[in-house]
Amino acid sequence: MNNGILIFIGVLLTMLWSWYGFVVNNFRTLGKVEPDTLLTGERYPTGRSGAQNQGQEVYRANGCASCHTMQVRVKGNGADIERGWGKRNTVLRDFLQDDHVFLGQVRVGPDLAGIGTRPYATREWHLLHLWDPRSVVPNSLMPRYPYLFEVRKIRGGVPSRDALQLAPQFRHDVPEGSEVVPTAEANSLVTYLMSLQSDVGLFDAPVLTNRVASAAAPAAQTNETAETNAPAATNQ
Amino acid sequence: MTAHTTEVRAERPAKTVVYPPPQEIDYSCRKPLLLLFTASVAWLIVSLLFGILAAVKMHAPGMLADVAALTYGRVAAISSSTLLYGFLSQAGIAIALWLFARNGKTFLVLPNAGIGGAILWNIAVLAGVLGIMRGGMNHFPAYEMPYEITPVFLVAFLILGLSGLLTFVARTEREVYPSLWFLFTAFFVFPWIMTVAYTLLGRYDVRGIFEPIVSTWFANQFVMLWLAPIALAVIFYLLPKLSGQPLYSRPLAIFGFWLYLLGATASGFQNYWALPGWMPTLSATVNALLAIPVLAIVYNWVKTSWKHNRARRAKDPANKYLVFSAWAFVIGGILGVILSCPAFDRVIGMTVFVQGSAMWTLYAFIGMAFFAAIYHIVPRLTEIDWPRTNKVHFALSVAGIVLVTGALLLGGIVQGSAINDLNIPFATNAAAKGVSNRVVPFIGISTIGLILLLIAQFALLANLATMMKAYCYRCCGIGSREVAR
Repeated sequence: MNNGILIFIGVLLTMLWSWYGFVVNNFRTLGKVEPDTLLTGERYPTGRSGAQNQGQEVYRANGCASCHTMQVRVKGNGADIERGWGKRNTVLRDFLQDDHVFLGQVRVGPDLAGIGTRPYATREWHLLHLWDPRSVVPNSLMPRYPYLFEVRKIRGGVPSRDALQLAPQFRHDVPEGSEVVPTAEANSLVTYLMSLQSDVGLFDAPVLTNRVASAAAPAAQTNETAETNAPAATNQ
Repeated sequence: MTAHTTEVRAERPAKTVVYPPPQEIDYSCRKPLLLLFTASVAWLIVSLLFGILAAVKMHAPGMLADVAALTYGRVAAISSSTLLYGFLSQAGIAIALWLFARNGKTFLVLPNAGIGGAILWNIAVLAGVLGIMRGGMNHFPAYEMPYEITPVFLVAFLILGLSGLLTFVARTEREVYPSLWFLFTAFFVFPWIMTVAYTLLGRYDVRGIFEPIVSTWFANQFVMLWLAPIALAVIFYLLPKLSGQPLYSRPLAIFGFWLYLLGATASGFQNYWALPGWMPTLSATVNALLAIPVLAIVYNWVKTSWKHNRARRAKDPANKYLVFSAWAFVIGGILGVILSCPAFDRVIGMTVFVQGSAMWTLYAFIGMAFFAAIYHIVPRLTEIDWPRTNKVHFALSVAGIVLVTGALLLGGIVQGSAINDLNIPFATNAAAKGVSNRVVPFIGISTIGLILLLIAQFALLANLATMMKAYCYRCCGIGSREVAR
């Protein structure tokens, strides 16, 4: 190994196999993936709206992916589905129409792959949560995002239709006679979050209904799962 | 006829190579290297400051919430990208240039262009930090700076890399040491992966689903084939040198090198289960198999230095860093195997354990190897010994690294078991303490570790400044006489 050219060729070949295998090969195969046609005749996933795409940019620019994953693991590998984070495991095809995909690495906060399907997560909930997470989730570790909101004087004595309904302890120095209104950024971020559903059953990622689960597992165990499900669902 | 040619050959004088003296080689490197080293330590301090800020924000989520530029996600991204590009890459380039020159027994080529490259590199890091603050960050691990800055990094690297490559070509010592194989790999891989990241993650609008694959591939190559080979090169160079022993086995080094390369190129996807199944499966398998080259490499080091000239080795301030880094390489390999086991992954996947393991590789293995190199190289560049406080730096660095990574590894196990335990809610309620709040104490311990690391780096920077002042005085009469010994 004293010949520079030979080392060069060896390193080149080693890098080439990795580059071809992971980058070029996936570029060719994933580039051809089409949306699925469901049994109902619908296409999945559907394209994203402009607001959702803008929300995705807000999600990216604020580094949300450093604390939130979007990878619900398959049933049996961790308790993600039992926790109510999603109806089925996440597959790459869920993000087929996305400009950016935020799989994430660490779950400091909960997984967001199915945040749009959780019943408590309404638009109002999301906006309050962004203004001060502790106003809706006590003891949350998430930072506040006050710069996604505009604090302005109430004009003409009539509060704005979009103004947040804040409890007094969460007003955070907003003076009396002023209101907190979400900016376009906050609104588009919420639109994006509410679109994250991944609840359509696919051939390789089916939604396991209770009927299937109870047929597969003994009855006693199913009951137990159902009971433990309750606190998980209400506590995200 | 035959007799005639033999005669001619015999008459030809034996080829003798005159090696330049080591001091002159060091002299040729000194300007760009001192700049790169000082700047890299400064960036490490910046990275730790932002890391501490991010950790404190975990305890006090309301702190500085009004400042968009300092929101948690951006602060964390700044901390990691200044560590990777400001400190590790920059110090790595400087170390590589010196090793190219010293191993090849030749002068550094284009040293003055290297100064330009170093300045450009630092401008790029600064621009990246400002870009993240302004909201231009990417969500890709190890590629968080805005993609528009990548060309600046590439140009800076082209200058510095050309300097290294030409030095390698101009070597007078024809035997290529193992450390040069690793350096060669690193310098070959860096422009490749940066170009791929720039084109596919930034410049051109590829499909979103292709993104996580390219970004994971990039992040893995960045650590495993750009930073880690430089650290391995440092150990392969310094360990025999400080022990005064030749490397135990060159064939074993060749075996370890190629197997490490083969494994490292396919690693990195093991914890991404949303990707097509063959990728995490292949990576997990390969990652576990990486134990073989790790063992081969470490066995070689142990045989080279275990019982030889310990007293001689201990005289060099680099020694303790070197030994720590070498063992950290083994532990890093074990952590890699743990992360690839599905049974463990079920618990620790996507927890702070993953972060802790990454921190271990970056600080304990790569960072400490780079410190060893800095401690070995800088006195040779300035011809001034380290002030005595370098013991403070080592002790605090080790304590900091152990606290940071240990807390995150343990915290990851607690966090992962809590996520899989349905009786524990995610956020704390009246009935039970939540998953996220259970992690907070561990983040607190890791914050203490970060603070220790920060104090240590201030000591290192102060020492570097003292040495430079003394050097400037002796060389050109600038500054006061007091610091010069």
